[in-house]
Amino acid sequence: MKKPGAVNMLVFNCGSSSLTFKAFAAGSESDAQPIFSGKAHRVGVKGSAPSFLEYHAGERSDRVETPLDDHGQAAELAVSKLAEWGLTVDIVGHRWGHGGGRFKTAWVDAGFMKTLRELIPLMPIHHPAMFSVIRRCRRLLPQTPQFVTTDGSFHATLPPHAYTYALPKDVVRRCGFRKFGFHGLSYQYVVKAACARLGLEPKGTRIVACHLGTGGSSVAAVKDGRSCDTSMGYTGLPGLVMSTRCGDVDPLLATYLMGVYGERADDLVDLLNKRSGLLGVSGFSSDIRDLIPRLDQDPKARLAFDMYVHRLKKYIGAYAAALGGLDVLIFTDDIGLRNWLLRREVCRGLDWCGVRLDAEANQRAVGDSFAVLSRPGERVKVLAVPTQEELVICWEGLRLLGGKDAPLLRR
Amino acid sequence: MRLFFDAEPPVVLWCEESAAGRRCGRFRPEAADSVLARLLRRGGPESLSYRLRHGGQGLREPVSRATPEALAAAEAAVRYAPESNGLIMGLLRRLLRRLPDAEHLILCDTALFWGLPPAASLYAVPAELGRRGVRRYGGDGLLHQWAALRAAEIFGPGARRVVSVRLADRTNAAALDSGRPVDTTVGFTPVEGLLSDTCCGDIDSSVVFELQSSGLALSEINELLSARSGFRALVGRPCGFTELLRATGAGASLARRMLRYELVKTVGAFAALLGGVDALMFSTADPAAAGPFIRAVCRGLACLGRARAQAQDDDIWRVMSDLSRNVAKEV
Repeated sequence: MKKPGAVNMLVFNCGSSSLTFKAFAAGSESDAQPIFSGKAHRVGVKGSAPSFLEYHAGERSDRVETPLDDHGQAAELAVSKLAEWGLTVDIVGHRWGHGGGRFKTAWVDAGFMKTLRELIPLMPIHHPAMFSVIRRCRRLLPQTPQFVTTDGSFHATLPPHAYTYALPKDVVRRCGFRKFGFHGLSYQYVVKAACARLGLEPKGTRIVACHLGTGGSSVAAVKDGRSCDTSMGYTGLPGLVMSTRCGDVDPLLATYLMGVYGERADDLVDLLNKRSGLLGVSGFSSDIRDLIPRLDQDPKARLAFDMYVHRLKKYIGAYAAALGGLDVLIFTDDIGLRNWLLRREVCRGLDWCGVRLDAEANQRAVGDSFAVLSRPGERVKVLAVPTQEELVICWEGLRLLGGKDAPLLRR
Repeated sequence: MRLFFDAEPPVVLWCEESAAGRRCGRFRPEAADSVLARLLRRGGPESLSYRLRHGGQGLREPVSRATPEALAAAEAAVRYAPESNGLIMGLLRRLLRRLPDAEHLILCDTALFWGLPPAASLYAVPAELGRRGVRRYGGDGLLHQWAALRAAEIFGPGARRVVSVRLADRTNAAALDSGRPVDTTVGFTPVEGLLSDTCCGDIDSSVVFELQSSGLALSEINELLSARSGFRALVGRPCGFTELLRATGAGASLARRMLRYELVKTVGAFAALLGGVDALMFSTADPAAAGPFIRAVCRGLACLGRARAQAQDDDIWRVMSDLSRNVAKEV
């Protein structure tokens, strides 16, 4: 199965309540082939539905239902299933959320684990899970080199007027406050894929990409293949209305609620991150797919949906203006790919920047495949592009292997 | 003759408008009687307008006659802006007694934005925070409403979708459709939105929590974000909008670039909500001085197509005069 010169690379992509894993046989960026993939669902979620792990290799597929209390445990199960099917691993890659500006892609050794541990508070929802997966993999596969790549590296090209917070210089210097942005792996992939499918050169192409996930969501403005702006910030809190995160709010809201109502900081962090967004407004669900059937009878579901659309529309308009016009509008990730009603509402009234949906094509695109959603012949292309974060992590790993610090692989 | 009052504590500003033109002045509350005697010496004014900077929860019409209900709402709003509202309400009570038959109009800056659609006025936080007054209040409502009227005057009644930008130390913008508000950059406080002379504008709220865990008190955080940020932080010294236009150095140039960039994004965002823009109205104290900056913003907005732009003086007396005349017609 493995070509000469190729490596088997296992990639972990940690979500807040899921763990996606994929193994590639790869010699170069263009020939990376998935040989094993799967996902652990409902990891660490307390509720009635059980957690389970599903996995596939070629035509083979299997599924185990078992309690998964944390992401480390899910990773261990994935590694054991991989071994059961006789697959070996030469190198392991992990997605990391926030490098704090200290690294983009790096090998993980004992010293680097300390760095990662220090970065945990920057993303309190995601980092502990990611850290537990890396630690577990180091224990399970002590001889296998591992690397991490940060989700924000794609946004390293943001210009100062987009990433600067207008805060006193001493504070910025001491705390490192600036816009970092996230979902970079996803943007890197969908921008490349969209240009390839449309036969466009990234150079000169103005793209707004919407990564709309079941957890976090964001928007990015991309020109010449480089990120120019994005809706998340120093952390994943600001920007769009998300499933449980509030997105943009007045920064003095927090001091008001602490000062006047005596709220505690950690409760507020929890409130804005885990009890706001669609869940906070609708009062019953963090999943836009639960809200849509109830739009007509439940005013709170309607309000949550309208807020989601309102905020997303604003970001698309803002970035189209910032880019000086639009060539491609991309929707990706679970919600972006499958929710035609949402896309229809969001694209309504965007004629001024050339966005015209083909109603039927939009309504047909509810799966996980590439689709053109704009009317035939329109200059601005609206696309649904499935993202492949794991593949981008694999690319980053290959780049790292070609570098001078690359460890000798045991083959 | 018509009279207009505004408050800039500790003084009251007044303006008298008649066929002969406009006269303006200011007085301290203790001198009110003698000034009013002078103002009223040539006969009673047909109309008196009072600007309330904050209308609290009760005043939800930008211009209202001083009916008992409106007065009660205005009195209740004094606690939201005790100094300026206090001055104006004292004056209003006095003049109501003195000129019971004249038309007294209350012009309220916060009223326009009660008309925002809930998707724009509310934050995506649990509803119980709304009951604690958490929402977007907007700012400069009178000016933005006037800008929408002016757009129709200048460009014709087809100029329905308006983005109004006030360029000032506290720059902010509003989107209006047929005079009704659609969105605003000003949030729960003026700190949210565009960066200003001393406010940071939109940032990540996580910054607040990190500052707090680094040992800063809430009052220090409030002060940092609202009084020590914005142009001041970037330029490295106190700096207003007019000064920023001329200031030299890397910090000033970054601040100008950021403001211009944020404005381009704001107009684009509002265009998406309005379905396009017919008129882009810039109001500022010195339109000539701000001209190059305004043109730079407009150059960044070429994708808006046929939207027309206008720069004008943000003279509050003109705003009050036009609004009170216009609404007097309707009432």
